[in-house]
Amino acid sequence: MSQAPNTEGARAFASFILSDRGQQLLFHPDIRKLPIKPSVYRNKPEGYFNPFENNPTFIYNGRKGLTRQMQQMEFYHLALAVPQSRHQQDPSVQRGKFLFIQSQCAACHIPQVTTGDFPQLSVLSGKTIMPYSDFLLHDMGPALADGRPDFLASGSEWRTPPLWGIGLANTVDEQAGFLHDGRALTLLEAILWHGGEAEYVKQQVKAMPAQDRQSLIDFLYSL
Amino acid sequence: MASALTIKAALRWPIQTLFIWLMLLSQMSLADTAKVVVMTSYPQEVVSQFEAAFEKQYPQYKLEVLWRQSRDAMAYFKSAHHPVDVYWTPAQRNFVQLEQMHAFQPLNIHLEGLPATLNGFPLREEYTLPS
Repeated sequence: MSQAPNTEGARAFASFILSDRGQQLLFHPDIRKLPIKPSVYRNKPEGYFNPFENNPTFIYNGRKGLTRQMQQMEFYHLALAVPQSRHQQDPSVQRGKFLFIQSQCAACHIPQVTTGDFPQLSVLSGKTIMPYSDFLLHDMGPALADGRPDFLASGSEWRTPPLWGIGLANTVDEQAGFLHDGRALTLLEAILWHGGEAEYVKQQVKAMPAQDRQSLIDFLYSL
Repeated sequence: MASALTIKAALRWPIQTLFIWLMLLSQMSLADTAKVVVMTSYPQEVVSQFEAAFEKQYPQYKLEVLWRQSRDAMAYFKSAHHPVDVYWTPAQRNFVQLEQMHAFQPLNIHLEGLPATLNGFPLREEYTLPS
């Protein structure tokens, strides 16, 4: 940097990062990043990706390389199906679905949305999906606030996360927690962390008879 | 009382000398390991590997790491904070912005065997390009 108090030290550090030794550190299993120095790949671990392979002019052509991979990755994610909801005929699940709408959870966790035009993958255009989200920002109160503004979101605003597939979270990862930082161990705990715009809805859930609350949770686990 | 005074008086000179020596020594050791302030967004796993290897190769330097995510780093640079020696990050847009702010100085290090651009993004300044 122009104001660097230790220019010599800065030069030493930058030289070290770009040296063979520094670049080879990137192969370390805790790091696993791609060195920028093509010659370092001579000592790469077996099976390690070399973006400069068959590219002796050191020009990394995005169209041939990274961009194509990114497009394939994006297409894979776009084409992935959402888990099917389960136990929809279960009376408790049906009661829970009714309570989910009645207690206004569905005001933000909107069950049904129709997609717009999506020329990139036309089968996804005009499709009715069940994400249980409005995909909008809401102030969730001080208990959930991280005090970190991100682009349009203030430090206490969060985007409504879709709930589809949430019932399988613990099937995928036994240790999975809920909410943005995984702090809630159960779905009920996650509900009780809601505040701000969702304070009223949380109070509705707290005031429910225990059996209704269980039905609501059963419904969430069916998604 | 008199003897205590005598002992105190007798110790005063060596203790003072010792203090002067300790001060000199500590300043020497500070001068010996000059700190290099590196701002980065890389996680601990990455930084600690590089820190250990760098300090091993350059024992005269001690790394001081400032962790800042891209946005926080820009806020840091825009306000008058303590100056940083090296900004080490994958946030390429920050580099473009900082260059417009004239926040960099030429490094003048050897860049042989390193690509000049990556996917069309220039990795170095014109004045360091090999002729």
